Amino acid sequence: MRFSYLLYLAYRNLFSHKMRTILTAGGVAISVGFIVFLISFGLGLQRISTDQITNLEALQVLDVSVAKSKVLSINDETMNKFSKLGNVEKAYPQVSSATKVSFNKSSIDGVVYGKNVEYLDLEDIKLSSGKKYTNDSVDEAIINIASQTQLDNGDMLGKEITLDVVIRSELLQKDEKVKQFSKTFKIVGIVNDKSAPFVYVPLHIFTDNGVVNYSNAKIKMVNKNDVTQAKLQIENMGLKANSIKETIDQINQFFNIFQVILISFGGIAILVACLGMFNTLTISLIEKTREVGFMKALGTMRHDVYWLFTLESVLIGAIGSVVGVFAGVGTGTILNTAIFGLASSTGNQAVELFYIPIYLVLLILCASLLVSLMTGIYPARRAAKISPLDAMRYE
Amino acid sequence: MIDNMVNKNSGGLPIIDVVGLNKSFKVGKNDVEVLKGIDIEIMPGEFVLLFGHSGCGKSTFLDTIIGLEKPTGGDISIRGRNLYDMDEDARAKVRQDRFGMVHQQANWIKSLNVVENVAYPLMIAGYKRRDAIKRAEHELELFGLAEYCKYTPTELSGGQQQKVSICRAIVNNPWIIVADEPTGNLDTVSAEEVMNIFKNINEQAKRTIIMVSHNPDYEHYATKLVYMKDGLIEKIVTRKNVSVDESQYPSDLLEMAGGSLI
Repeated sequence: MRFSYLLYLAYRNLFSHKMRTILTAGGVAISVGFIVFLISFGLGLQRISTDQITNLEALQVLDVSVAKSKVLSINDETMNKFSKLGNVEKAYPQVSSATKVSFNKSSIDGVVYGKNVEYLDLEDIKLSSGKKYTNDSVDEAIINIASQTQLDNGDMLGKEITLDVVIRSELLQKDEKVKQFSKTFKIVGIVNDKSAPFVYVPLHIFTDNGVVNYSNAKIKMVNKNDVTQAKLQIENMGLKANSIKETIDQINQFFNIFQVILISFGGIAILVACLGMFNTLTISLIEKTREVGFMKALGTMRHDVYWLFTLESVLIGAIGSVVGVFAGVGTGTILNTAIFGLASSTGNQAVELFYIPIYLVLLILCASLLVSLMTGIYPARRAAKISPLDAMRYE
Repeated sequence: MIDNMVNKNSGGLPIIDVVGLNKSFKVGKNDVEVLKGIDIEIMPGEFVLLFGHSGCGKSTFLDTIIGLEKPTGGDISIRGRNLYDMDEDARAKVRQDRFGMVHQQANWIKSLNVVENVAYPLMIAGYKRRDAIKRAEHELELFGLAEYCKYTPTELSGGQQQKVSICRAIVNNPWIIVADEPTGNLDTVSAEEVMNIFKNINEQAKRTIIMVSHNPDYEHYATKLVYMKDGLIEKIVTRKNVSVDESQYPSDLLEMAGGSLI
């Protein structure tokens, strides 16, 4: 028998029991829709949380520090070693120290960081006003909003502050003791940060004053996939290495578990739908026993009978899953639009809470077709095995 | 479209050759012998009427001939090919191509309409749907049933249903038509009509017909009468010798003389 005719026959069989077909396919549709909805919810949440954390460059960066070790240090030699690790784009050092910040007659305690422009770029700092220093050899500074409010509370851009910096002995040559120096800087930028007061200055301020060891370093890898390897290498050197990628990986891991839980719920729904489908097919087989027997008596081959029942199952599955996918994606889109509307009317940032890539939609479609094919196998086998004479005696 | 039934080399050979046919069924722990050694040759173009009381094994005999009931012993050959040397699907193929069947109670594929049911044997054989429907429509027209094409079969009267099932039995241009009490459920007028159709198929298209009946009034339709009793052939009466010059037969039975089957 031609495949197209088998398909037609399956369609006619389903069509002659409209209500039963609609109810069974409806069960499949609900479960597929449910799965699509849950997965797009999970993926949407995941995307929102990881998008918020990072720009793409940050994923390539490792933060290195000496941890609590008194023996190890990060100096130019170590920096050199970093650069020679595989796939390192560049390594940038940073020094931090306690400082007194003075402006006019007021002064506060804070932290001063020595870091160059590239380091600032890598950190992707957000300036609320002004700009970064023009190059790494100037005497310019960037302060945060916390410093500004505590010192003056006015616009401090372009004004001068004086730093009294204490350099800890571990940053200096081995035999040197704690050192202190004082320097005046021109404020060129304000960082959008309201936590504790801090100041960024170019690194040369410290190296000029005898600093040889760095507090920590950032290493930028060529590719984000190299981060894990480099982290291991650095840890083998006795240093401590962290990357945002790890945090992201942890978040992703959490969401993977979350997805598995969501999918299991969906799986239960699919299972229930399958039971319904199986039930329908079995009943239809019992009803059609005589008819199948007669079809075989007329000369219908066993595999044609087999395919007829399998196709009925696949057709129910196909109708159900297509409707289900539309329902699932549709619900997500409607809710996204609603959230967007709500967010823009209340002045909040709009988010896409439901998100599902097209390949996943296709995958779910294929999977549910496969499941309905498998559901059809047992009734189809039974149908193919029906003995024509027994069946035709069956009332 | 329909393959040629003419087989010029088969002159004089039986179309169905039954040798020592035995069939027993297990009922509980006992073997019940239903057919106890049947030998019969049926020649092409014969109209065989099979008489016998209920339970004498007529239906079982028919079922074995069409390849549905594997015999316990003995052989059945259709034009020299042993039916039970083949596997189940090959026998299905023989039923598809060589046999037409009419039962006492018409059986339908309920989700299909009249014309689709008639076309079904062609669909099994792999014809295009459009061609099959066209041929089925043409045939129903010959039978005067054109207006019922789109009906559900069960909406028709018993006589009409039986005529439609004859349409289905001959749509694939078979060699042999097997009928199991085709008039059993019909009133005398419809029964007469149905019997005349069989007669025309036999006389004009020279198709072999094997029919089970309880009605002795039908004897005059047959060329051979076979009386069965308790699983054996009691006697065979040949009413008319049939010439077997098959080259004179129409190759497509729908194109037989006059084009009318009624």
